[in-house]
Order: sequence, then structure tokens, then C-alpha cells
Amino acid sequence: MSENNRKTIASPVPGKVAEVKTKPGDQVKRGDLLLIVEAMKMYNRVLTPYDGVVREVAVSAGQKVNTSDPLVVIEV
Amino acid sequence: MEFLRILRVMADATGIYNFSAGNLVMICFGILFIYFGIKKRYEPFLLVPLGIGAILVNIPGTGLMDVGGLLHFNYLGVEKVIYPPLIFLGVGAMTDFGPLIANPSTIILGAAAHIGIFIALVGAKLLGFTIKEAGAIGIIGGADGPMAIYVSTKLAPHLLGQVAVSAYSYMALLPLIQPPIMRLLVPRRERELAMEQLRPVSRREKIVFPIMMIILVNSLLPPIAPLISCLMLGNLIRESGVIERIADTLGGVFLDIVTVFIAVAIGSTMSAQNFVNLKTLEIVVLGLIAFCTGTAGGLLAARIMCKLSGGKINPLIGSAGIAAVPMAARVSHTVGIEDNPYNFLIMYAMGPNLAGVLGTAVAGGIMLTLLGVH
Repeated sequence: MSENNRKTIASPVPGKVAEVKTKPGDQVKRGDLLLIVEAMKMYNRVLTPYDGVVREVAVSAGQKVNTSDPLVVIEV
Repeated sequence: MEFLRILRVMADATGIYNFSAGNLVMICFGILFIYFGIKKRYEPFLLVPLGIGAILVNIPGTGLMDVGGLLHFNYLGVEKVIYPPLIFLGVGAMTDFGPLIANPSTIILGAAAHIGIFIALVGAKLLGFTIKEAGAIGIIGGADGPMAIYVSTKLAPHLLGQVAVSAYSYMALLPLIQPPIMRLLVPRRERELAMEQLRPVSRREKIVFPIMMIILVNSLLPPIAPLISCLMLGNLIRESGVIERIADTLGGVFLDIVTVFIAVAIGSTMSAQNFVNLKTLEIVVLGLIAFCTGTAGGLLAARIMCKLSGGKINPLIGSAGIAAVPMAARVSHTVGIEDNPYNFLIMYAMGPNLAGVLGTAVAGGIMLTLLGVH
């Protein structure tokens, strides 16, 4: 498997991971919900822009994240 | 006969016997606020206590708002201008000024969105309000509750209830007021624009910023020193990074508690005798005009910046310039994500949103200074 096939979904906002909605091995389609990040008292839905298989979930619920921190790795 | 007389005396003393039509109208408004807060989830932490305050003060005979009553004691926090600086202390501790420091050009959007203040001020003057009353009404357009309370306490304390209720109600109803204007004034292709990532802001910059603002703004506009000082003190506590526990408390539990107190206090000004008159209607309409024109001003300025930057700025962040932190930024984000689900505008919108807070403070400071009020 080439590294080019692996796409990292990064946090779009600084905040706290409220809920993780996926796990390694899950088959996902573009637009599927991966996780929810709370920022500025708002729940932000992080969707996958790719079809593929989730290979890694780098965060857990309750964890603080900054913009660009890796959240999920998807093999496309 | 004696028994009937006693019954009559008891009936006269009940709230039901003393209800007026005005009380019922205001109680309906209270219930409407609670409905919007709970059912529609429009800023429930503001609307629910606001609605309860409005209901309580319109039940005759409780004496809650009489001198010595519970609501009267609570209202002193507004009248004596104690709550607004405390709210600013909490807001400062909660707020990351990074987006404003990273993109200072968004200050233009904060300024443009304050056109509503001056439109409402001129409108109020034309309707026959004095210049001080017009200033207090105009500041509703700043969409900043504590600042509206602060300025109206200084300029026109007799209008404090109407001004504060308008400011807080419209802030809570931003998700209803702003989106139609945003969709009308910004074409879809511009609403979909994704913005470049903001540059990282260093810890040193974030620590210097509040100290600089305390010195600069307070030197230029001393009348607003209590608010700006508390806002920046709260922010310095946050950014210092060495007293995280206090920063978390100030920006969380403390802010929530003071918000409940201030919202109940504002709601408790909504008695039928204060509110059911033409002046209230005029103030409420002027406040709405201020919010709408301010939103439009910010959006149009952002569209100009979008064109000049070659599409690097999503014009939806312009409406956040009217202040109302972070509600207005959340509306920018929510409307943006409807057209492009991968577009996270919240942090970009925080730039003009924070500029709006400073803009309202500056506008209030200018009014107080020009009118010779300290």
C-alpha cells in the first residue's frame, strides 16, 4: 500500500473532540460523519471528503485538538 | 356577610385579581422567549432566564421588583453597572484573540458592521428622542449586551430596560435575523469559498495584545475603562497559561452564573407599565433596523474585500462584525456549511467578531466622550 493512498483528515478548528463516530476498519463514503469537534460552544461535524477505509483514528473523545492536528487516516 | 368580605379581601390580594391586559401580553412575551430558547435552541442560556424574569415581574403582588425584593437586589447588578464588567471578564477568559491578531484586516469588517449604530442613532433623533437617548438606542446595533447596558446606564438610564431587552433579544435571535440577509446579499458561489488557513499566532503576541489594548484603548477612551480593562484582564489570565484553573472557571462556570443573573435582571425590567407604550415599540424597531443594517454593512464590506483579495475572503464572515461573540461567528459558520459542508468558517469569523466587540466599545466610548459623560 503506497503512502499516497493514505489521506489524513485534520482538525479544521481548535477545540475538543466531543464524539468519535468511526473506528479502524470502517468503510466510509464521501460525506460520512467521522467525528464531532466542539469549538466555541458549537458542535462541528467533521465529514470525510474521500471514499475509503478508516485505517487510524488518532484522537479520542474529550481530547483537546488544534487546527491541523491529525484526526483520522483513510486509505482511499 | 363578614365571611364574604373576608373572601373579597383575599381575592383582592391575589395576583389573578390584579392582572392587567398588559401583564398578560408581557407574560406571553416571556413564554415566547422560553419557547425560542428551549424548542428552537436560540441561545437558551439567555432566552430562558430572560423569559422567566419577564414572567415574574408581571405577576402582580409578588413585590419581587420592589425595593428589598429579590429581583430588585439582582437588578442592582445592572443598575450599578456591576454585571457588565464581570461578563467581560468571563468573555475575555473564554476568548482566543488569535484570529484577530492573525488577520488584523478584519477590523475593517468590525467597523463596517457598526453602520447600524449610526443609522439607529439618526433614526431615533428623527423620531424625537434626545441625543443622549438616541445614543443609547443606537448602541443596540453594537450587538453587545454588556456594552449596551453600560452606555445606556450612562446616557439614558430610563431607557435601560428597553435597550437591554432589545440588544439581548436580537443577539439571541441572530440565527433567525441574519441568515436571510446573508443569503440575499451574498451569491452562492461566494458563500462556498474556502479560506486559507490563518497564520499561527505566538504566545508572546497573545500576551502582549491584552496589555497593549488596556494601555491604548483606556488612554484614548477612558469612559469605557471598566469594560475594556476587565475584558483584557480575563484574556491575559487565559493567555498567561500559568493560571489555567482560574481561566477555565472565569470563562466557564463564572460566566454562566453571571449570564443567568444579568438575563433575569434584564427580563425583570419588562413590566407592563414600563414596556407597553409607543416608545418601546419605536426602540424595538430601531434596534432591529440597527441589527439588519449592521449585518448588511459587514457583508457588503466583506464582499468588497473578497473581490480585492481575489476570492480569498468568504463574505459570510462580514456579518460577524456586529459583535455578539460568539453567536454571530456561529451564524456565519452555520450558513457557510449549508452550501459547503467542508467549509469551517467559525475561526475566520471570530476575527471580525472580536473586532466588532472592540468596535462597539470604541463607538460607545466615542459617544460617552462626545456627550461629556463619564
